[in-house]
Amino acid sequence: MRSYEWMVEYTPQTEWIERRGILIWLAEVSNGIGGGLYLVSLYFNSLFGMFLSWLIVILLKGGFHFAYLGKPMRFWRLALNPRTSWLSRGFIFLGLFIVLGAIQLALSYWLPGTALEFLFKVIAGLMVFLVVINSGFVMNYVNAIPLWNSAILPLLFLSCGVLDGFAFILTIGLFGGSVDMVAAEAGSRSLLLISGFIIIIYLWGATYMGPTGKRSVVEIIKGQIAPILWIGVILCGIIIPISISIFSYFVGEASVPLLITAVICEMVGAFSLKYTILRNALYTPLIPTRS
Amino acid sequence: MTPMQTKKKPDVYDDTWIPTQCGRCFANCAIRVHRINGVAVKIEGNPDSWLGSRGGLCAKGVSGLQVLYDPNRLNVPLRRTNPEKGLFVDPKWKEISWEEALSEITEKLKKVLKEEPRKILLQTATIRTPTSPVWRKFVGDLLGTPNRTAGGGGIACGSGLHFGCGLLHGSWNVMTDYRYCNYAIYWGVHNGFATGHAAMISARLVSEAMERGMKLVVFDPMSHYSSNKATEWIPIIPGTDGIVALAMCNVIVNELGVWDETYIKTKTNGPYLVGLDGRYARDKDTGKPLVWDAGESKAKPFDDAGIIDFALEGKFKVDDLECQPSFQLIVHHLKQYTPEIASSISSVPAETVRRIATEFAQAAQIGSTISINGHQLPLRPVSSVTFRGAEAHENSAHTVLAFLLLNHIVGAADVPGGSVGFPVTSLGYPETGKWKFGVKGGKDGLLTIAVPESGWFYTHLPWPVHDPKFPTDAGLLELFPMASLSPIWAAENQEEIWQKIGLPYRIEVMINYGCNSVLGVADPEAYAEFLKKIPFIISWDLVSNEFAEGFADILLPDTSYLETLNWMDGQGYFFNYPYGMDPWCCHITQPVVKPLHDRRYIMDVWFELLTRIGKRLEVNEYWNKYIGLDEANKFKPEEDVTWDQVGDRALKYYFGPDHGMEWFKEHGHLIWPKKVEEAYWRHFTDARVPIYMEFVIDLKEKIEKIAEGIGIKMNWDQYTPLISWFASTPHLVKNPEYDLYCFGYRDILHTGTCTMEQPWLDEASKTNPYTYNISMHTDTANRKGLQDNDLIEIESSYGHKVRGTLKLRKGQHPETVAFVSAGHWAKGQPVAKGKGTPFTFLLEQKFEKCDALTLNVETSVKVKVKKVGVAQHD
Amino acid sequence: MIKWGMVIDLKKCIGCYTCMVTCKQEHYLPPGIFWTRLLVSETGEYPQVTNHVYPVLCNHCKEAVCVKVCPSEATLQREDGIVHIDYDKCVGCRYCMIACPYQQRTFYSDGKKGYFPGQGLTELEVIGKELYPLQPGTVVKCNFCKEKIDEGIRKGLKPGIDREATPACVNNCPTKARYFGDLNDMKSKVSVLIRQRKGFQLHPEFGTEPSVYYVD
Repeated sequence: MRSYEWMVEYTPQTEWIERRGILIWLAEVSNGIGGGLYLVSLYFNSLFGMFLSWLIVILLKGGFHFAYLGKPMRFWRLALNPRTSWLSRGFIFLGLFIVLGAIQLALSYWLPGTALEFLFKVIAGLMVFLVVINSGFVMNYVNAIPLWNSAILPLLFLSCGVLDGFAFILTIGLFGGSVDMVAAEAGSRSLLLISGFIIIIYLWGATYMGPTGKRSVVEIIKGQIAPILWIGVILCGIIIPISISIFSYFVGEASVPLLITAVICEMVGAFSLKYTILRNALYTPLIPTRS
Repeated sequence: MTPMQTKKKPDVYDDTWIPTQCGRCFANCAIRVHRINGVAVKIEGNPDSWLGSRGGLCAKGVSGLQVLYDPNRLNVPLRRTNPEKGLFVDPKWKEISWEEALSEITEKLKKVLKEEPRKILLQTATIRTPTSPVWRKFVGDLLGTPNRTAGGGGIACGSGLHFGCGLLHGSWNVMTDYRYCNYAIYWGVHNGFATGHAAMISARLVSEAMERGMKLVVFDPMSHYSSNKATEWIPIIPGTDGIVALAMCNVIVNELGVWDETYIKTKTNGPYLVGLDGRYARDKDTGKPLVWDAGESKAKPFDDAGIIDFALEGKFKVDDLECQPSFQLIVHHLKQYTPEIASSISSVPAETVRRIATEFAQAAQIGSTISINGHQLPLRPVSSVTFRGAEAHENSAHTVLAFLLLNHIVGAADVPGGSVGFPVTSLGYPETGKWKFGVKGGKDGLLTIAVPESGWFYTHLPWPVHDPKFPTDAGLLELFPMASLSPIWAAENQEEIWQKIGLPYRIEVMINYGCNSVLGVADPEAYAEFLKKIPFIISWDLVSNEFAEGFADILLPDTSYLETLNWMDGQGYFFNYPYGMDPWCCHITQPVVKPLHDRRYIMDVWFELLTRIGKRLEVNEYWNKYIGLDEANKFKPEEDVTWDQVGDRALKYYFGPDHGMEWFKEHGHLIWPKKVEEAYWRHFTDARVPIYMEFVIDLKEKIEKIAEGIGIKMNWDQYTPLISWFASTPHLVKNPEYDLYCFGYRDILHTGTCTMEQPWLDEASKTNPYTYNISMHTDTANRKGLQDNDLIEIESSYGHKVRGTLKLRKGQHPETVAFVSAGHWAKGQPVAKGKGTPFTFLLEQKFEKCDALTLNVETSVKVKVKKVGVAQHD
Repeated sequence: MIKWGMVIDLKKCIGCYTCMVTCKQEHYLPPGIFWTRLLVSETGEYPQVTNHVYPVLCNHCKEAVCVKVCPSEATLQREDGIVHIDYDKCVGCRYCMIACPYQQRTFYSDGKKGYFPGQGLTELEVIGKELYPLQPGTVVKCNFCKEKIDEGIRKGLKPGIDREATPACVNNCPTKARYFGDLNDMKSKVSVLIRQRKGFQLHPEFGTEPSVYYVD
């Protein structure tokens, strides 16, 4: 974009994707993976999965966000405006999750099966659920970016996050973790279909968010980085995994290399989806133009 | 500025506001500069002065701080150590001391003055401080060389304009009297919307006028600045405005049958009787031109007290000589310029030509009056004005006269609401009666300057026109007395011409003051060949630019306007005054900080140099004469005065002993009200102007004889007393490959090319779609397979090429391609380097192809365009 | 209660960039940062073409989104309507930048970057950092020259009428195309202009209620 086109043509956001903004992208992806894995781990009662995802959320999501800040040492100030700011709320949810999750992990390790442990599982689960969908709310609150201003966005992030969680839990299961592989695969299969469906609904819905929304979707589908959607999100993220999944349904258990391929492709899909949504987030031009 | 409210407050020990003048273009608007702790931190317009927009400024003026604080500024004298000279050569500067520099310059000057002073060529910038032409005349007169030029003259300037406005208004240029005007026509100019004479004064006035409801019609190949904000934009092919104006005059006098009888009869040579040979019928005894008194049916001298009524029509016999009023000749002559013919040449629809002419004539309210300050004056609230764009062509003189003729036909000249010159009459500063100047009817009753020979006000050509002489000056200006500047310096047949006139010397010393003529002159390559031949070139400048790096032997660090004390930019100057009824306002420029490093103001240096070469006495005499000091106040021969002391003496002389330099330093400016006799002098002055240029007939004979004798052939057809249309070279290019007209235009962000080094202006330029790009009409470009951001190559019909980035727009004539001339390559200006495209490389000049009357060069050219790549991102 | 607002007269604006450069000068803004700027576009078909030139700046919205989304309460709205940033509190999360529909906020990242790359900082830039210390790592934007306004009011001057108390961009405009004043005062120049010439805001559909109006 040339300097003189800024806010005269449709203008993409840059702060949360270019230069240091790459960290936001990585944080968002980590958010989905970590949060999703935690929820799925709770379901499959995989302590290893819970611990791994708890680390992912703190070190990767938290770490990337921290590294992104202009004044990182002032990070504690992020908690100061939960009244109106989703970012503030998210920071608080994150903090609560770190603490409550730690307690829950401790309980699961030393006092498994108790009522207290169950209670904390519910609480931690609720917290991580809020952490995952929070970034969806942070983004959909922004009216200025019609592509993000969709009620479906938090749902999309949750669905994709849980999908990533299933992918990871499968991997854990493959490498010796005690996971019900059939259930994991079944869950994975359903989530793939659901996520694919939500992506389509999301994009289709975005075209109704005015000319800017429509243009954003056109950019995603036909623009400069369209291959990220088609190859990254659709091919790698949905089609290959679902083909492998259906194949394994009919064959019984799929081979390990195929499953690994599916997981890697799903990861590519997760990164690609967040990337294209962050990159093609367009603002409406401020002044009358010919286009 | 107000510091941020922080916990630790910085220690501020110096917090001063200094009133001074801007120096980023020739408007020299009044500014106030804020200095904190010895650092100039803010520039704003001065709301108390009338020299400007009363508080506002323009971006160039605000960026002056980055002229002051540019690490690339010259700080010490530099000497070229690379003997090679050329357009892209590295001079390999070596620092030297002022003493070394001045000694060498003195020695070289002494030598050349002994041999032949005319070997010296002086050059100044066209578009910066007005003091520069004053310096040029001062130094030129004292050194005894007639060879002077302004780089960019004809490119950035308007020889035709100065000629026409001088002839018909006694002024360097004419502006619209916005206070009362209702209908203004601009021809290729952006008065009040971009740069130009009195830029911010006009910006203020035109804004108020349009708010009041003034209609503005702009003829321009592009829709931007004035044409964008105009009530109506009329696209036009470059250089064809003249025929449209003539067609409009035709419509007014022949189709509508309308003109201001009283005005023409009493203020022009319209009633002068003209014989079959085109010359005036003259009184046998007095030699005065005759008019026909319709009341008594006889011919009388034009200024005869008993004339009852001047005839403007009819055929008469005076001593067996058949003659008629020149106005009748004009009316008849105009018939050939029909709107249809004008349309076929200019692309302006005939219907539009008729309509605008009719609107103009109706809006003129011929016969109406207005009362201002108790005086009843003619009110003609219409104005037709121009500058550079429309007249920087081979048909310059006649084009300008055509525009002005519109005013004179309806009497809208130097009257309320009409086209007014920068005031040529001052009745003097009330307290002292000095600072007086005026005009009168001179030879043949025509407008001429009345100020006694004092050198002041750079008395403008051309009336009375000096007799042409066989040229002994290298510029041939002695042969062409109506030209302000000569195109010889970059003419590709320069040496041929000099051989023809048998010039007994060549330029051996060139002294340049602040001009980057390499980028400003048409055809830099031909110009470079000339510069290479000059053995010794001294340049004063602020940064090392293309002229200096390519050709200067010694480069001297001048002070910027924020470091300079100069009384001259706001006194007695001719193109930035408050015009119309805006009050008189005299200023000084004063330093906000002391000159940094080893910079020295050029005027101070020249006072010293002239003393060193033994001209001390002449310096004093010159300023005595220039200022017009009387016996009591004259500088005595033994007084070793400085420039500042000259200023102090001058100010006290003009404005009284209380208003010397110290007073001006404190107050910045002196204001006094303008009288109607000054603003609208024409009503009070018995002087006429030649709308029929009878004098050109004799002039032609004399000039043609000398010129043809030498072997120089100009377009002698242009020496006709009747304002006519002449096509320029680009209009006559037959090769259909060259299908577009290319020209350079002025952007509001830039003054020539010297403003591209300021980062704030560079940043702003990048955020504008057009400033650094080449623009074309979208449809034309698409037909050629071109798109936005293509890297294109433009080739002129002379075979010269330039490259740049394309930006499409619809607000442009489809047969044109245009851009702001930029394209710096000098090492000394890293911010400016590489931005934009240099326009002047496309041009070529042959001496004979210039405007025959004023030697204005042709600044548009036929080109072809092709794609050579895709432009890189920002 | 005073509510400061601005009116920009698009008819008078000649697109000279003076306001943009003046603002940079007033606040010693580093390279690449603009607190007001001109947007240029073209509409229409030849020869009925219009070049639009819009000076844009922070709108100091009455329903400012940036204030709502700021997690650290660094961005606040004063009672007089000015939305300002406390640079000591800004964390640099840039949520406000994302949320602003007008995109009138900038992240100041490199405190060492000067106007003449590779040639250090000029005297002007050095003193600028002392007198107006912006903090690298924070978000910056137009503050309606609140320092001038507050100092002016303290001296008994009237912002929008007395130059010393009026935003710099308004003062230096050569065609007087920018006006500043109290939107809650029916008789102020800004209120009169909005009423008489049907002043409009940019993108009112965003619901932010800008305090900057345009008339044409």
